[in-house]
Amino acid sequence: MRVSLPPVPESIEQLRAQLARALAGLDPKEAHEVMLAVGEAAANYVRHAERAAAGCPLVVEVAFDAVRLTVRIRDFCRPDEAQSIAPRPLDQVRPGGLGTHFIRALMDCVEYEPGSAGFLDLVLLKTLRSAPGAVCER
Amino acid sequence: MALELHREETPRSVRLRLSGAVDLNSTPALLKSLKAALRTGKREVIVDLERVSHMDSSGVAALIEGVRGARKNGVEFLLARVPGPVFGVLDLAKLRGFFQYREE
Repeated sequence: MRVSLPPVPESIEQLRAQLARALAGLDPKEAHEVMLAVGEAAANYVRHAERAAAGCPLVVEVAFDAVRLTVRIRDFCRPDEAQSIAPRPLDQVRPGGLGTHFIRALMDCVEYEPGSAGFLDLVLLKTLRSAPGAVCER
Repeated sequence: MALELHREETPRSVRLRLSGAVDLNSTPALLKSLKAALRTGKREVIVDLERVSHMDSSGVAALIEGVRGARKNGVEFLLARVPGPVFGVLDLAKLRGFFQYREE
């Protein structure tokens, strides 16, 4: 699955709808976890990404087999920004900053890989429950 | 499914019935409704989540804002009919115990 959507809040619901169709074959709880994590990452792109501010579309690619699911959000951030994207301590009850925690809690691996024009892609990996014992090798 | 908000009032309380997805797109409307509910002077604001199909971190943030606003105004802020997936999101944020609930 590959979607390209305008970098606006309204796109998050469209993304979830397309993800729901693409993940229909997965365990429902697992599909919900992926949709929540990808929605959070997409929301972060829409709210904070330099590329989004410049009007560049939100591009999300999803691929999976029986063992592993991979999500890639294209050109998510600059290399120097990646270090600062971290979950906040949960003992501080305040609005904001939960999305990154959700992504890390719901996915097995969160990484950045070279994208285009000096930006980094955000890559989320999840080992599917249908393959117990499989491990994330990245 | 886009978020729909319905408001009901009794002499004691305001109930906001949410239906649909609570996400980045819909939380501004939710925050506006919460603030309006907190300004009515009622003793309780009840947020009925039974028909919420999806909630993300922005929805959780809006509910935290609701609790904060309620405390400032001396209002009781209660969540009601919370679906399992929404409890799952509150658990992810380790906030299930932060909120108060109306048993129904």
